[in-house]
Amino acid sequence: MEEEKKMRILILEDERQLAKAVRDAFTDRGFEAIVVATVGDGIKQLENLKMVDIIWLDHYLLGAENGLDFVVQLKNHSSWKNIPIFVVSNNATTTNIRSYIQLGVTNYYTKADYDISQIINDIKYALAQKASAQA
Amino acid sequence: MEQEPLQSGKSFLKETGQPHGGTVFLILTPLILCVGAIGTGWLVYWLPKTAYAGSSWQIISAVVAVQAFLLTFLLFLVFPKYREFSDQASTIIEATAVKGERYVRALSGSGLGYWDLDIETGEVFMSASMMSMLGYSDRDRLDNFQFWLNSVHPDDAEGLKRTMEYHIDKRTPDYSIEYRIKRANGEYVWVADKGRAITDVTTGKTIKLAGVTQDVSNVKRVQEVLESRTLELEEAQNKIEQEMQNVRKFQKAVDSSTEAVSITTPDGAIVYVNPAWSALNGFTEAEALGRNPRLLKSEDTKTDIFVAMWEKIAAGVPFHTEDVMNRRKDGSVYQAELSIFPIREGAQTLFYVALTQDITLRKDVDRAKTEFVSLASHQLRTPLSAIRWYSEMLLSKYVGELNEKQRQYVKEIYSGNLRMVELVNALLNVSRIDLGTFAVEPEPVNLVEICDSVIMELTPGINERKQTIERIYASAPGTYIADPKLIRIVFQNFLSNAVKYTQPEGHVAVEIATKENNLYIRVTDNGYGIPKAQHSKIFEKLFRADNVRQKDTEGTGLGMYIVKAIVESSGGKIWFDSEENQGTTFHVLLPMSGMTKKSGMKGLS
Repeated sequence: MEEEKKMRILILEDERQLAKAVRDAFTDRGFEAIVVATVGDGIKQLENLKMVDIIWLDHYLLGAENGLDFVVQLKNHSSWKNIPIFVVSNNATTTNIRSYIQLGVTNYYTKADYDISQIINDIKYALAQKASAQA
Repeated sequence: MEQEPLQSGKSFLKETGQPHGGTVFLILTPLILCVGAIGTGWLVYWLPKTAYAGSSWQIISAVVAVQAFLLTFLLFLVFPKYREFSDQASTIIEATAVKGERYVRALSGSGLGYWDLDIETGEVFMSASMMSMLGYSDRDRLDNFQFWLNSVHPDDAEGLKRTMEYHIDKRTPDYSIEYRIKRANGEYVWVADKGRAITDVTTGKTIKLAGVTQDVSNVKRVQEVLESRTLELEEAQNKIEQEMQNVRKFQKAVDSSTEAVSITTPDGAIVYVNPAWSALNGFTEAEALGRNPRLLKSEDTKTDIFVAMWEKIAAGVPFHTEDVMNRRKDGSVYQAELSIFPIREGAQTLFYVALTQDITLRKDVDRAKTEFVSLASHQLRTPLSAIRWYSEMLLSKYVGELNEKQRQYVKEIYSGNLRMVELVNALLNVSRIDLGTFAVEPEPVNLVEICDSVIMELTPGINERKQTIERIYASAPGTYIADPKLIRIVFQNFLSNAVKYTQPEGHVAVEIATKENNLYIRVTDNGYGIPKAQHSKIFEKLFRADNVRQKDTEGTGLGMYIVKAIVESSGGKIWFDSEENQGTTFHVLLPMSGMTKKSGMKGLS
């Protein structure tokens, strides 16, 4: 029996504690989870991996660039622009959230208000939608 | 100038004295008569014996005739003198009578009564004018002093007697007293006596007391009126003085107040500023008086504040704001807390009293505190997320089964964390409200759907408490322009409070309706209610009513503060009725036009 292809998620999260929780949660559910803490590392991973299925993005990250900079770069890249992005942050302002939505991210979550499982369910649903659209 | 008749009589007597000759006449007449009689007798006896006996009767007749002639001669000598004197005397008497009549006329005309009292006999003579003054027939009267004393008012009789005695004993130069005396008809009149003792020149003893009496009841009445007026005036003066003292007291208080006070006329001229006002604004009293308070106006104040201000003070209602930006004389601007009190008399506004305080510092401190709360709350979210997610993961199937106790404990950690998340969210909302940074992003929403979804969330609690919930949506609008998050917060707070603060098997009703061109929301319960004494505090930050604090420890005391801010920022009204142990009803009216967009850093969550 051929093993189902593992979904690959790129997680941009600078808080070690939270990054570990997110990575474990996805790994537990059969995802391949890659965690980075800066925008630069995120881009590097995308270049190396060629393809990721989904991106988990925090707004504030280590380094000078934040989540918005990352989204802008992705949306300007022909092969990355369709990767669904889930912004999960505690401290983004209304303006930033609006910017994310305008830039075309799939959804925005305030971390403290959601269980990881709720967010993962949404992500799974989005992936299923995307798969059926492609099929 | 006509000489007084009495005066002329007196001077006549003085000049002429008694007429001479009377005495001579009185002595000579009997002498002549005696000598004549004796001579005649002797002749009768002697003549017959002489040679002239034949002509006796002729001789005797001749002698008698001589006598008669002598007497007649004397009489004629004296008579004219007496005639003249008698004429003079009658002139004098006449003059005296005229004078007397004048006095009588003067007495009756002046209303003065004349009297004299014989001290020895106690007889009193009272003139006709005196009698008529007392209401008796218009005739002189001679009576006993007792009559007089009996007529005097019992309270005054003793005084009258004493005053008379003092004068008679020469202890006082004049007799003068006012007293009440009974008239014939029984009523008392006030009279004034003035008199003097009459002394016997020879013995030096006081024999009489004579004087006049005047009816002074009119004077007395006027005097009484004057006295009462004077008393009134004195009282008024006392009052005025007291008021003046009050005014001075308040003036001192206002002068030394550290709060800036100014008084303005209704047409906008400053008529008073206290030293604190001058110190705050940099304008001296002289520079401020007569000017319009606009001299402090800066462009930094929003114009709608002045619109709201005029609306209130023109209606005679005090106005309060913390959002005025005032410009000092030196150009610097400060945030002012301004209270204006219209001082009215009836419907007329006399002036406006304005209290101003520089609250720039306080506002800065407030802001710093709020910003700190905001920052701290944000910082708390990360560790809260960690607790949430790890406890969630412990409870998930992926890390292996926990035993029952472990599972229970982790669940407690999880739900404790949820409470903390809610509290942090509420604190963040409050800080956004206080900083004025919360955003309103209206869109067409279905209120019934939002309300139902809130009820759905609360259903486990409602079922557990066996409460019933009634939904009244009959006249609910199809869509309404509102920020869904904000309107959700409103329903969420109303309904969760109603459920939480109502006893098991209680009843909760929610109504969404259109009312008088407004959106009307009502949530009613028959629960614990709010104690009357705490009604005024319901919308205050961090307030929780005493009765519910004992029943439920989980509330933050921030919910109603947030709801009120949402409703009021949308131009709506919120109020409630509540009776302890009867229940509570919250009402909200929002303009049918919906919420207005407001950009801000953060939406409420």
